[in-house]
Amino acid sequence: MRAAITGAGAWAPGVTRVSELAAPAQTEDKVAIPRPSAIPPRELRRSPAASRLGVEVASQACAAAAQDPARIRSVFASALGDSDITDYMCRTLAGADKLLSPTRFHNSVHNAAAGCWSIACENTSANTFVAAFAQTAGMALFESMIMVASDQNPTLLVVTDVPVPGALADIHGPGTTAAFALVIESPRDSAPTLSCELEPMLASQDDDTTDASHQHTPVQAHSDPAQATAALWPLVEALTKATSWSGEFQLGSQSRLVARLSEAN
Amino acid sequence: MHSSAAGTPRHSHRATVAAWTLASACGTGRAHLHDALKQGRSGLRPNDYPESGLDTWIGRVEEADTHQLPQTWASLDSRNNRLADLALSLDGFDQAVETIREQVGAHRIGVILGTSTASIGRTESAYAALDNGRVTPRFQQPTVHNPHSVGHFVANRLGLGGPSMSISTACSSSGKVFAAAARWLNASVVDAVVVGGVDSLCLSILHGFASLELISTQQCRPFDADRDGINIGEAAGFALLLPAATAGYEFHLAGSGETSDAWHMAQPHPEGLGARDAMRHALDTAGLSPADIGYVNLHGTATPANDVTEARALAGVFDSPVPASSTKAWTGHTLGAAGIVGAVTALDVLSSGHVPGTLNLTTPEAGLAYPVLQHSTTTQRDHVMCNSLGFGGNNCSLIFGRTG
Repeated sequence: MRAAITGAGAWAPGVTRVSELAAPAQTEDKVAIPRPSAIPPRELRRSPAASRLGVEVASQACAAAAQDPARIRSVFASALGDSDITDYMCRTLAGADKLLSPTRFHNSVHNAAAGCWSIACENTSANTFVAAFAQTAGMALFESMIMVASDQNPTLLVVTDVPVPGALADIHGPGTTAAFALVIESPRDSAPTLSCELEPMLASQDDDTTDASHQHTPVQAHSDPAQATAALWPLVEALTKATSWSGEFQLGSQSRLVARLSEAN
Repeated sequence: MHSSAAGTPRHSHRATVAAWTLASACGTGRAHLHDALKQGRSGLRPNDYPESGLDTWIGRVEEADTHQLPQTWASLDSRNNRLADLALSLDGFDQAVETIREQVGAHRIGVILGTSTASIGRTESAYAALDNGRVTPRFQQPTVHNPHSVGHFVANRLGLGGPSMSISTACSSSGKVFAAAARWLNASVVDAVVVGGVDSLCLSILHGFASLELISTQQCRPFDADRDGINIGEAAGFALLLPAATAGYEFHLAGSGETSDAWHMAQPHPEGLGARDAMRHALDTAGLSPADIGYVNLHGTATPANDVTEARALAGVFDSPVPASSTKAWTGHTLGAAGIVGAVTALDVLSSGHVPGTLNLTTPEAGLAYPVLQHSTTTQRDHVMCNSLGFGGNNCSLIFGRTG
């Protein structure tokens, strides 16, 4: 599968736009939650951090790609969903009265950020939410590439992480605030091209570091589900620097997506 | 009105249905669902889910209370995974997957499951059992406490090594898995996909819908003038999908439509525009006219808003009404599993010709935009549709057809 990457967005510790990825600002402060202009000010306060993050990076990527946010189809993804709401719900339900906030309940659906984006931009195109634990970023990239291949329509990919609070952090670790977005379109000369192939990954091929011809990012580097977006950082950084890149993403137990980014002609 | 004539089907939306199964409140296995539909026997019961105490009815799969996971996978224990496990062995489903696996190899079979609850019930239990604020060892299950828990479990349980993901778009989740799988198959990145949906009873859903005041204290009454809300149900269902036009099978996915309302997180578009367009897209991709559809299994949750807007959506698609009913009063609203329940119901209509009416619909709402089917009937047509509509304004409509 081949596709053009025509725009990208990023938000991470020390990063508020893709141009800052190469040299994130050093800060000890908690990562600020973005205030995307696409969300009306009166709605911002009620929008969960995960939705604000998703809408922010989606807006950045669409602006860079000159894509209309009201029309583009989207794939949203997160390994753990909105851990803040999961923690709130489970704490409340462990109590005696079990009275949940209706707003927090309807925002507990994993497609809340996708719904927030579609409502904010009045976008009636299809959107989806996918999760694949530690493999979430690669899986969402794969799903987006297949959508573009299926009908050549542009697709917006948005992957988010939010910090893991409370007892959930005992299970998954503390996580972080980070999000990436890509606009993926049918191939063209004027934009960097991403080529992806799904290959079998049999047991004997687990470790390809012995194969000097493959200088891929090791699969094991992306194994923290609380920071699943990190798997996309090298790709988005390469896009920003306009350099070529190759890497791979494990998908399922026996396959991997081998990806190569080549510069625009 | 839907004016476009039947056109050419689009192959990226087609797939062969090689095997399928369902466990729901109507019983474990396809035959139980068929019998319940035929006999008009609801699977709902007064709420007896532990720790809940809400005055409502639920669709509970009793076997999920006692079913144990195979020892190998005991560390993945959750009610949701138990429900998935018991459904996998019904109707010869796991054997059908095994046969294909031997033919194409485990790495060539993908897994796409729809769920809204995933294993959140297990996370609730972990929080109820905290020791000094810390999660106790038996609940240290990172691959269970996340939205992909059931996809991870099913891939492991069936020994499948291809790409594996979960789709979680609330109540449209396990409709959309069919559309995604058809794309994978037509891109030739896999040779088969196990799709399905699994959602299980949990406090989050029961008390969440109670907070929205959308729970009925009685059996739900879809499209009835006196309807007052939903009954929560649980279900696990699966289908094995092969490339379009694989020889030797009776049914296929003929088309699909996915849209967004872009209206409200928890309310459908008042005119049902998103649902209408999902049905139109499904017809377009299948190359069919509205009159080709023999039956529509409706989302029909029995909330005041859903039913009135879904009727408007239908009126915008079908100039001449075709039989359309809600089966939620049999199974309850199974949320992330609603798509697979609708799909298996649609396949039952195709294979038996029996069209279920709408259980508990006694007085249709006056002025409803579409005449929803009250009593059962029959159909000989070769295509049926099912709708699943979710929070966030997420809509999916599927069309299944008889092959050959």
